Amino acid sequence: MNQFFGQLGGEEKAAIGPDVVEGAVGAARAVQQALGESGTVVATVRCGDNYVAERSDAAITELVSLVAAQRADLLVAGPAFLAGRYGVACGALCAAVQRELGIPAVTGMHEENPGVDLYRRYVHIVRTSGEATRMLDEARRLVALGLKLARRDEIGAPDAEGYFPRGITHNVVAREHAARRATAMLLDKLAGRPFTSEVPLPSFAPAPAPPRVADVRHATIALVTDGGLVPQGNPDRIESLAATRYGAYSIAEKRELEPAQYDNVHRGYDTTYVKQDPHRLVPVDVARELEQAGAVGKLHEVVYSTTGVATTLANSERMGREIAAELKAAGVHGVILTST
Amino acid sequence: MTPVAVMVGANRVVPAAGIIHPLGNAELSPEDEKALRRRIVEQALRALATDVAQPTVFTGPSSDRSGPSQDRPGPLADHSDR
Repeated sequence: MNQFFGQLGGEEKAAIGPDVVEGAVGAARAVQQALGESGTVVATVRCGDNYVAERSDAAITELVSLVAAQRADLLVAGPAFLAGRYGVACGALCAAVQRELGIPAVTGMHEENPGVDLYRRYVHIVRTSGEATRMLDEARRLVALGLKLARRDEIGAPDAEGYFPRGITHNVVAREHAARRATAMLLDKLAGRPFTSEVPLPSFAPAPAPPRVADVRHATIALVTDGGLVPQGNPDRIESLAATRYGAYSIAEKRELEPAQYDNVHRGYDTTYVKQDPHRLVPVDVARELEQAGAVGKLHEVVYSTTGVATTLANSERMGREIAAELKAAGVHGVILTST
Repeated sequence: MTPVAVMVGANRVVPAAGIIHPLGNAELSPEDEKALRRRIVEQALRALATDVAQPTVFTGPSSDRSGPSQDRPGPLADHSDR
């Protein structure tokens, strides 16, 4: 519990450090009520929101050792509803307790709590409302799932059990074959009835559009590609697929790319044509001409390259961040990223 | 691949000449191929110089357009829910 739900006080007590109280205190009483005969709240661990938010890892380590001393079979954290600091702390503590103590944990949050996106992959987070007006109902749902986790019962699908999807795929046997299910879905769609896709598309957090380059004629423009251009011999050993690495290759003094000096290791498309002429992928020739004609202030002297095929989202994001940081540090104003 | 670029949230998207040679076309003469490449890069520069609020496909005709058209309908244009 945080300071508020642990009955220590309001925002003025948010800096308070961790403590343990025997039995159920504050909102933990709802957890005890929900447990009924099925279990006993042995202790309530409390800590101020800001104490955790300002110390993160160190505070979680303290809290884990307090939880460890109770030798409990289950940790119920929260529910945190829409409280952001509280939600992040609940998620972090549940993840750490599961990982370090092997004790199952459950928490609950509103879908817009930032703790959901941060921890839903590691922790069962029950979907709750935004406010604590129905605390006992919410506690019942946390406890129902928590008891299953504590008993090592099989956990059903997120929708059935009321927790946020953890990104885990289970094989199940469907009642009908795919053609029938697809046809039924199509008929539902045509009739305007609700239907649920079996293949949810990944959702990508929107990246805010950077402002325009005010004056391209005085800007430094860089070329980047995920099309697999590498110098002969692939000195950075960039993977042909599922890349974890990228290369930074100088084009200083080069008016164009000499085909004999380059290779292509991308295994996701027929690279015959870009091996014949690397400009079909990385347009150094025309970019240099535009620079010399004054249409571009300066062509950045380093080309970044990797292979974009079966590359994990996490690696793509990391490489993108790293490349962007280098380009920014080098004073680049705009990037043309050519992709296959 | 422009629909993919838009779906993942790339903010300024310029349709190019194809997966196996985005900035070229082996069937053109070297001069025409380079002119094609230049048009795509110039379109990219125009995109960089334009403010956008959301993923936007730049399909507008460039001033010096000639030779085979590389324009395709942008994903935003044919995304209407029919």
